[in-house]
Amino acid sequence: MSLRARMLSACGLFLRISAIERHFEALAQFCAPLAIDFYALGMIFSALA
Amino acid sequence: MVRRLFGLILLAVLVFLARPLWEEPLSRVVDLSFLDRVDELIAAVGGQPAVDQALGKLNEGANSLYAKLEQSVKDERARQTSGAEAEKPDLERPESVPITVHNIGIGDTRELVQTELGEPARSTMNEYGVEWHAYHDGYHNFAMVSFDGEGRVNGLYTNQDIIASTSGIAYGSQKASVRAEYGRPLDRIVKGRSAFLIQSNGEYDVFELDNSYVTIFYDLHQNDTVTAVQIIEKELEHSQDALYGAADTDLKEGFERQLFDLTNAARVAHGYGVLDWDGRTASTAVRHSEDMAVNDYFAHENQQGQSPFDRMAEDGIQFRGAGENLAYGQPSSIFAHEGLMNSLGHRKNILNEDFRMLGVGVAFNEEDQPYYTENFLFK
Repeated sequence: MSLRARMLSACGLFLRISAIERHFEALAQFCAPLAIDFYALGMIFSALA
Repeated sequence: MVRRLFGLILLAVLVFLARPLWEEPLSRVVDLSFLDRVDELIAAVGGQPAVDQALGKLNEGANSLYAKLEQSVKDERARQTSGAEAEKPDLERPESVPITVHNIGIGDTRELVQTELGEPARSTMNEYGVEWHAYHDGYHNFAMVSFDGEGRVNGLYTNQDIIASTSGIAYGSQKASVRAEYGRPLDRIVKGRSAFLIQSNGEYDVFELDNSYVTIFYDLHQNDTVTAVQIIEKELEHSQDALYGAADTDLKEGFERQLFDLTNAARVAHGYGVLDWDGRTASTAVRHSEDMAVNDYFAHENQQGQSPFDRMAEDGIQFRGAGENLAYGQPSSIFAHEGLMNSLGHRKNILNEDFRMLGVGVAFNEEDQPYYTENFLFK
């Protein structure tokens, strides 16, 4: 399985993005006036063999 | 007069050497006993030490000449396959951009690229949805260039000594010098509401220079020195808002051919001969990549217990030696290749002087993550 450890930092809360990604845009808009950086974190998981 | 005499002597020698052809039929009509006297004379002359010495020297000279001819044929063959006589370009210190590849910088026109590099040897799709145009001279002076819609350079790559910069950073520069010059490398690239984390494990650094993202790759097996550079204009980088490029046939074939070219460019940079593409082996490789992508595993041995050698033999590929490199999850052929070069076992396959052929196969899983399989062999 690919690594989907994308974390979200918003208003001091850390939530797994898979749980809230449906509301992502709404949360972003809500936090924008508060000047809080609101990003989905994308990470590459790679391997060699 | 002298030429006639020399011609006559040469003719006599030839006729004498061709004796087995005419002696028997001629002896029926002419008495050839006088030839016995000639044989005796030759034997007497041949027995003298001075003559033996002269003949020995002649033989030695002929052998030496033959060896030189053989070597020059080998050299010519090597030159034809790897472009050994390709000259390194005169690298000019850039003025309008921080770093250039083969004197080409971001924003240069297609016409300038054509003047500097000629026609591309190959054009293939990359993860940004634009084509990498590969330029090289028998894999010497290897560069890949991409263009925007207006025909201006928006992407550059090389893994050879054709890098120039305003700062003096070049192929072979130390990682410490690069960081001293360009500062702390980026730990993420933010695109819209996504932050793409950069976790390079020290194998490369990404810097924001001018209007571009510059990725500088280091050779961990050569004291962390600069081994390659990729320059992507910001606009192009930001046009790609996913971790991976859109998986399709063009990208699959692009990654395959790019890995082949990158491998050959690396081999030439390290003094090894160029590999030939082997379509049959590439079919075996792509089936293994597809198998891993569909069945969600990552290993040389497949779920039927077959090794790479079993798979190649099953496909009727004959070989005396073979090797397999696998990579998974790297966003491009470039990152896959540079990762393999920094992994000792995989590097040994890429830089194995015995290998003559390579087949590469790429497949994507449902999340567009690429699986890369490289099968090397010699027969």
